[in-house]
Amino acid sequence: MTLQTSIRIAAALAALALGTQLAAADPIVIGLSSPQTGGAAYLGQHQRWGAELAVEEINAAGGAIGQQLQLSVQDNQCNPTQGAASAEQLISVGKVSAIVGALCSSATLSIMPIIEKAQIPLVVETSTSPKITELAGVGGNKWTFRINPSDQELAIGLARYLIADGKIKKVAFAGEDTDYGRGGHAALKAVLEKNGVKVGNGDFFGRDTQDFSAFLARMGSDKPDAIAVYLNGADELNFLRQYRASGLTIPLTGRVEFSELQEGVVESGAINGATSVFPYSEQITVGDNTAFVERFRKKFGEVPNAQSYEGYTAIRLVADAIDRAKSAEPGKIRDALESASFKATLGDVLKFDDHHQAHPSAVILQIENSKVVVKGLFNT
Amino acid sequence: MLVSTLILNGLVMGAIYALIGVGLSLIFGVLEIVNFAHGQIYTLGALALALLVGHFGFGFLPAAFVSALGVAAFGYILYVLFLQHIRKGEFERGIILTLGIGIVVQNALIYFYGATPQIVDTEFSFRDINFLGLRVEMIKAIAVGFAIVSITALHLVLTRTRFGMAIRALSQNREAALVVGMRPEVVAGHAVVIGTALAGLAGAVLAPVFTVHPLMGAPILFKAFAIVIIGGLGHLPGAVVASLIIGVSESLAGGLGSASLQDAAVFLVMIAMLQFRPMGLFGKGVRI
Amino acid sequence: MAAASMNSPWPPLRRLGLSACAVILFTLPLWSPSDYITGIATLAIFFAVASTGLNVVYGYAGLLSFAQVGFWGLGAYVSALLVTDHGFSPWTAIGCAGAVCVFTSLAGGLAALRVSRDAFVVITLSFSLLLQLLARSWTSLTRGAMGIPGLPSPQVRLGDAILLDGNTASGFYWIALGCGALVVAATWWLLRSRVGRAFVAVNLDENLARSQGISVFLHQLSAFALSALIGGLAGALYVFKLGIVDPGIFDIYYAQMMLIIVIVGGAGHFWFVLLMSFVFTALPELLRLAPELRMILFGLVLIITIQFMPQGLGGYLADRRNRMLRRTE
Repeated sequence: MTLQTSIRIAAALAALALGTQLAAADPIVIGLSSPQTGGAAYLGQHQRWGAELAVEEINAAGGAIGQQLQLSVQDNQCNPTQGAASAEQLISVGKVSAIVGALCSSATLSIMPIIEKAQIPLVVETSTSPKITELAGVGGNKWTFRINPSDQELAIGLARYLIADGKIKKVAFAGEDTDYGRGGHAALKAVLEKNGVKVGNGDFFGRDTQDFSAFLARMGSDKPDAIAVYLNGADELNFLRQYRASGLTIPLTGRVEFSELQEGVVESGAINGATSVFPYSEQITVGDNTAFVERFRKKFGEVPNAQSYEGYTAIRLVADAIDRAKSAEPGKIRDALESASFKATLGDVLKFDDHHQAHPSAVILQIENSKVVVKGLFNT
Repeated sequence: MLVSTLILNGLVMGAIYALIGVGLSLIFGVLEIVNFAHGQIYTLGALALALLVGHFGFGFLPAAFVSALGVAAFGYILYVLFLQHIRKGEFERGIILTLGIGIVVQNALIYFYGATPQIVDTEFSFRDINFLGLRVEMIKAIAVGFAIVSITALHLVLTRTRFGMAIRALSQNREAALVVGMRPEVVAGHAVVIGTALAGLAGAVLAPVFTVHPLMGAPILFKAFAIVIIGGLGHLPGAVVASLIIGVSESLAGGLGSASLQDAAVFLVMIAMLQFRPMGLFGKGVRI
Repeated sequence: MAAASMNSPWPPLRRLGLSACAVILFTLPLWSPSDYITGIATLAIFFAVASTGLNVVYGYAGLLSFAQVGFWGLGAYVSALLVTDHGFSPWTAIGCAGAVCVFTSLAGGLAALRVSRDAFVVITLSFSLLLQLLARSWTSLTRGAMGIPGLPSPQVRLGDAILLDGNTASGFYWIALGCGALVVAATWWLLRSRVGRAFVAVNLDENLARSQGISVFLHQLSAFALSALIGGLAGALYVFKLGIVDPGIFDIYYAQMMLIIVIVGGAGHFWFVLLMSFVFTALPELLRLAPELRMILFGLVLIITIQFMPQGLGGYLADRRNRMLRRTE
């Protein structure tokens, strides 16, 4: 059983209502819709940490247009209904000026019509489904902006790398049964098949799937040249551990998160040769990243991952927009975002195209000798 | 090769299902209570092991024993406080009561433990063994060992001891137990302790195989219901056979078909069974 | 399950109480301090209607059913799909959803009611879980876990003028209240008719009912269908409040809430079940409990009720009144 919309939201909301009453001074409230419980909670925690670090740094430097920023976090459990409810609460009770979120593509897609109706800008920073780009900007939703690359662009980068040595001809696919997994599959299939690589129909797993052994046994007999993995959080953890146990030597690829949670698996050497395309790695040394990693580690005791980096960048970007708009009014923030030219920590400049999609750099990672190695940075 | 791997995987899962299904079937047979809290009892075993191994530095084997014992003690408390007050024929009352217990246990676990899935690493993690040329995770092999030993032990107790005869008599007819010279409420108490201990053990031995979280019991509960129905209500060997059938069908459906077929397998087996053998594999005449 | 106090007349006190409740409910958005409170009250109305459906099949006809959450979700999906994929208006879609639920319950009930009451419980549970699996896996129809977002809000129009706009909290509240009152009143009327009394007769003693020429099967089937209709209509309107539907609509949480409301209110006690819907939705808001704590509390209340007054609050009070009457005689 998951804990439900009505109840969870109501409680959080009650606390929120109380909170806003107490803080009679008027800080600018920025909403964060993020999975704080459930299988993706670890990722949501990092996203929240990144956002908190940004708010803290901005406030220490005097805030935006002289006002303090305040972060209001709502749990979306990574599912569409909770996602919609979290946005409703942030808007009607939190009185937010802008929303950042929602980590999982399906939750983001369910929030988009709500913020459009309420006319509150939404900055998407980790959801990668290509559908979000299609719908935003000239696609119809003028209030949604995305600063991370979509799976469309990530797939192009990954494909270029995968086909370089010409050994990979057939790729199997294991994805989450959500907009993330299905969107990732469509994007990767389109790009790879154009280059003569066959991509299977894909197996899609419901969230909280425990047992992947049957799928892995099938892989052992199908023998594809690579398995593309588009799973998330605890499910990915289960998958990688069972992949190790299966003794398969088929290299993994796709969007595998090699963060510290997977350390045991990475160190065991079982996923040597695995490749992954990600918007961020703490090992990147360009721009101000080294200093950012240090600040983050000092505050939270862990190194930042893609979620924390993106959460941080999104808040920074919104604060920049507020400063340039000289107002915390949602409409003015939206206009300022449209003309943004924001230098992110990695040194790339975030500008939105007509679909409100920014084109930051992304990174190809590979496991070599039980270690994560950065194989290249490319522009999306 | 693929099929044999799938069947082996299926038998491994089936053996664990058997621990859960047999306990549920035993409690139903003796008390005529469908235990809706059985999934949470299983969760309790898994979280207890996670706590003992992760926090108190227990080895896997002692932790599994202690978890099963602790869960059994909890089962006994449930029996004394609640289950023994349910009379025969109060079928709905038993369901609602155990459902309430399940709600309390699950949410208490979320409150104290958090809903985030955790990994349990034991001294047997990241090791594998070779079984007839097929690779099996050592932790899974140990889990199967536990299942075989405890179900065999239960079988011996039920067939070779006076207490076992009382249990079997009671599950057929209340007065018969008195003939054997045992008080029905004592026998029923023992049945609950054994049933919950088995579920707790199942949770404990599965904890290092998959991620552990307070909501893990809900999907298992329905599989356990299906096992009890397919095996024949209250029929323990039937429950074991049904568990293996479900484990293997899931594995084959997932390996030869797709992930969603794997999810649907338990429904398909149940529908097929009700179609052809409405009393279950070894039905003893309870109309289902 | 107690037989409902069917023949109780309408004493002036009860009439006064009911009118007061009606006035409070009808004017709520006017004095409600925030949209948030209005939203909670709206949720209570949905629980009141859905629980009344469960009360019909369990409280009156004596069949413990876990299919109620299945019909609630089925209604939700049917109306969402008809609106998004087939351009139906929300109102037509809700009507169709009710019809689909009745049809499904008749087909399912034909099979499920031929078995024992024990098996009925497990079969109805399987039904709800199977529907959830379909919602998750039949991606081409239901869009699976991605859900169906962006549902419109229903409106009540008179010509070109919008009387009630579901976009606003108070508008949706009045829409829910109006629909809810209609369904609840119709159910009350039906339960007090000969059909409703036959439900109770069948529940009390199947053989006696049979000897009086009442068809047990037919009455159980119609009680099941009525509960399906009520649950389906409630779910069908509820998705427009959420604005989205995903497989979470089949969550066991909804089943637990409905059951707690019916058991604590008293199975077969119409007004107490309605009252409990509001108590169990509003109380935790007043206490400001964390979500897990409130479910722990609810679970405990359920255990204590079933342990010490299995007939629920309604049954307990009716018992006490009967005993007092007997004493005065």
